[in-house]
Amino acid sequence: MDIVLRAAAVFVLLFVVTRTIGRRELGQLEPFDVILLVVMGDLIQQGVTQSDYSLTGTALAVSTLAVMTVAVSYLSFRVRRLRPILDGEPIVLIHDGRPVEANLRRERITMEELRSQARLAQVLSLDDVACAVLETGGKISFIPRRAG
Amino acid sequence: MPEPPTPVTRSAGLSAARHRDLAGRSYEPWVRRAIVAIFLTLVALGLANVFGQRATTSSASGAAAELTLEVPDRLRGGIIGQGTIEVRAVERIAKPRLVLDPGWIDGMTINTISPAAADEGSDEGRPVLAYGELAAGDTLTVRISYQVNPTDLGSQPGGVVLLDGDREIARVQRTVIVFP
Repeated sequence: MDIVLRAAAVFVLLFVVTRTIGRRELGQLEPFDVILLVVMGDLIQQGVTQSDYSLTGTALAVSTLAVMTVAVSYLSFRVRRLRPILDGEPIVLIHDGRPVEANLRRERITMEELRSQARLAQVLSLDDVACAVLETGGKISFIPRRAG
Repeated sequence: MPEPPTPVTRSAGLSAARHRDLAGRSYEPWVRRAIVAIFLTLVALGLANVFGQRATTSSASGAAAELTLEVPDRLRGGIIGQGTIEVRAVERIAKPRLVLDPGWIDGMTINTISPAAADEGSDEGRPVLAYGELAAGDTLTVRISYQVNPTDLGSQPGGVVLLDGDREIARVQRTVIVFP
């Protein structure tokens, strides 16, 4: 029972951490962030399984995380009102070619970073963007103005 | 008053009010800040030894001896540690015995006790370690290496009583708290 409770607690902790860190940080992982995630994974493993090296313990922990992942996904799918909490909501960063400064500040995104992301999306100038949206997964989508 | 949705945001499945002007979402940064504050508090409490495992020292003096206990009183499941019990005899102690509270044993794995006791016993479920005679001025230092069992949790007494035979000389009271 102990290992199931630990795995559930770690799931909740990770969920809160990933929702709190900020979606940009998660959507654009630098090499340091990847290493940090691996280190976090190792720390979490110790907290969940501790000195339990058994296959049963591993199966219990993995099953708990799987069940909770499916449960959150199901809740998000079934209960519309929970979606903003569980998944977050998109945020408009550019509207009609003009950056929405308050939203950029709120998500800690600089103009340089926004331009960089635009270039990666084959967008030459932000003036050509009808709408740029920070999606719930951390990626920025650029919707160009209609030609003509 | 938020603007009505423009065609650009509407055709992208977004609402200008909700997703650009963030109407009704002003609480979100505060929730994030509150959670970050909780994490910060946890870190600060950790640095302040609230969750262990820094050793602290407690002493008690009797007419015949001074008893000092140096051991962490905050522990976490799985950690390995060491406790030191020191007896400084002021007078001769013919049959020094150390009675350990349940916190030393329950939920713990004792790896070594050095020096090993000449004799061991039990006093109402509490382990008793008996050592050889101490002359006035002698010091007995006992080190106990332990590991907290991962499933252990909660608080319990973790003090030590020094006896000479059945006569109590000094008592150090402690409460050991084990965090999950």
